[in-house]
Amino acid sequence: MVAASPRTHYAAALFVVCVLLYLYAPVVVTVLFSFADSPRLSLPIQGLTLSWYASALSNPLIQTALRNTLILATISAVGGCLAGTAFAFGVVKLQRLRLRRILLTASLLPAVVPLLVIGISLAVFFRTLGSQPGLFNAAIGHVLVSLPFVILSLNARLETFDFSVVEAARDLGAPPLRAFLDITLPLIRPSVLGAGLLAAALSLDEFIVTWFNVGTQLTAPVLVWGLMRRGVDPSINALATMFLAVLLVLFVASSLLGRRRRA
Amino acid sequence: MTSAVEIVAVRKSFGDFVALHEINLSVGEQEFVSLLGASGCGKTTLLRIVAGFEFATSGRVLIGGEDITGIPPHARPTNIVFQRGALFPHMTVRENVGYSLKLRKWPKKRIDEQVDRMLAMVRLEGFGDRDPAKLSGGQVQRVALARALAGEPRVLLLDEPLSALDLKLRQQMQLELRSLQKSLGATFIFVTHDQTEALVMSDRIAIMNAGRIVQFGRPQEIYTRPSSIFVSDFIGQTNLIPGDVVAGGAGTAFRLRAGAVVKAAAPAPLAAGSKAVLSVRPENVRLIPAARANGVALRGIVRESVYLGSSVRVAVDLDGANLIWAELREEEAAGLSIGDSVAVTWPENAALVLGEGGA
Repeated sequence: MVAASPRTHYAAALFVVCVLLYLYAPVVVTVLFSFADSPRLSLPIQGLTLSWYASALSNPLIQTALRNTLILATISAVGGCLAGTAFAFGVVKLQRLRLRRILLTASLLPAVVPLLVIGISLAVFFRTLGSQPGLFNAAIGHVLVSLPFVILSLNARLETFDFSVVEAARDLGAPPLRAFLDITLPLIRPSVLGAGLLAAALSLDEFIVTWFNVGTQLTAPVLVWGLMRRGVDPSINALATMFLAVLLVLFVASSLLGRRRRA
Repeated sequence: MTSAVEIVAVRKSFGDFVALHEINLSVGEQEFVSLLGASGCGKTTLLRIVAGFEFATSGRVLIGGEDITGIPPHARPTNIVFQRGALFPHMTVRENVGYSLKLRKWPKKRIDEQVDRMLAMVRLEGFGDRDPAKLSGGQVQRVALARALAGEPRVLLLDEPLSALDLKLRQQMQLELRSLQKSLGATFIFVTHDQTEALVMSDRIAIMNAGRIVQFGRPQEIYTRPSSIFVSDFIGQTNLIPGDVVAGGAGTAFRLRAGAVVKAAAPAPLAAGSKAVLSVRPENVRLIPAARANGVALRGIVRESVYLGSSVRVAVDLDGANLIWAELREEEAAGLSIGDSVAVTWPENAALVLGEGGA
């Protein structure tokens, strides 16, 4: 093996820096400008301010959009968790391994179907049913988008779950529901919560499926898309930064919960 | 003796696969019964049917004379100790042991007293506040035992609870379990694939093979009077020498392939002329130098000698047709060397003729 010369070292380091810049520069710029006091997006930044945050939060359109987004995220987390957990339990209890694998794959497939296809299909589907576009339709779309991820993470937990502890509880006198509440639920709770947070995070910034199904209602991503067509207002930067913070917290919390269950 | 557990014509099939064929088994009060067999013989399925985790395809299970066939596990007077303990990982040792009592809504003080008694019984005083993850394998099984016995079940079921432990600990726990069972006067049904374990602990052993109980009896009975080739081969070590029956009846005469004819007991009557197998335990086989042996029919040549520490195993070739192993004390084997001509003999009743048919 030929030892790398110092020059190749520098070249490699430079390349790594370029890739990282490429990945993070847009986000960093958005965060920086959300604190800049000039309404025009130009460097260097003169002074710092929180006024864009204040104006974003006091804008009634943004308030409505945030409220709707929060509603959708909650429905997505709760609905996705309930349906996904129940499904994962059903699948993991199947004796026939082939059927189990087929069902699992079938349930995960929507995760790789382009969102555009899901969005349009849902819109057409709702139209045939005569259901008016709105938050309700969007919520169904959000649960659909998050469900495969919930199933994936719950299935991973349940495959290593020792069901003999549940049998032990049943044997010691616990009826099925009591055994679930006393034993199963506390043991899978971190995974369920983690999956719920993931579902909420996926829902918060979901745009495509929402856009096709939400009609005239606003969610934060749909509103920002509308605002952007009239030029970039720095309060959008503030909104984006707040989103970033919330998503970071959700993802970190979700993965921390995921890690603790393996400990 | 009244029976604690009565298993009546229990059959279990999974699709086309028959796991249990018409099992009948009666376990007495205060009896320690082992279900012994290789993996896949149906012993765990049978235990799970008694516990209520599986339901028999047909047949009935009675406990203390009461039919519990359709009753779910939580309402049965049985408790089970699982192979790997299955302790609740999110509860302390104390909470684990007291769980069944909490479900019965015992007052807290009474639960505490009972849990203390149980922990003392399995010699784990002071471990009450431990996390199950911080226990050794042996301690986990002790807690599981305490947890299963806390509610004073009519029957305790044990599903290979010692198989994950190392040999020394396993031997110690075998004796502990047995003395515990005797002092509590409880009824135990113990599933194992380890014949030594079954012999050490049981009052009676049910040997299972391919979904059937092939023999049910006291350990000594099973060891000295196996009813089939399968059992004699499964329990302990034995020489199985093929041949045929010359004359049936009380003192069955058996002809080896080598031509010699010997007398042996037959647990089941065999017709003259039928093919059979002679079973002799190595520790019963005696070798006599050929020159000093008069009137011994069976002769052979020493082929191999294996030193086992407490004994020596010697293989004798019976006229090129069969090998027979003898387990001798070291001084008995001292005069024998490979190639020597010897006469082979065993005490009366030490040999059994077993038919090739039948389970």
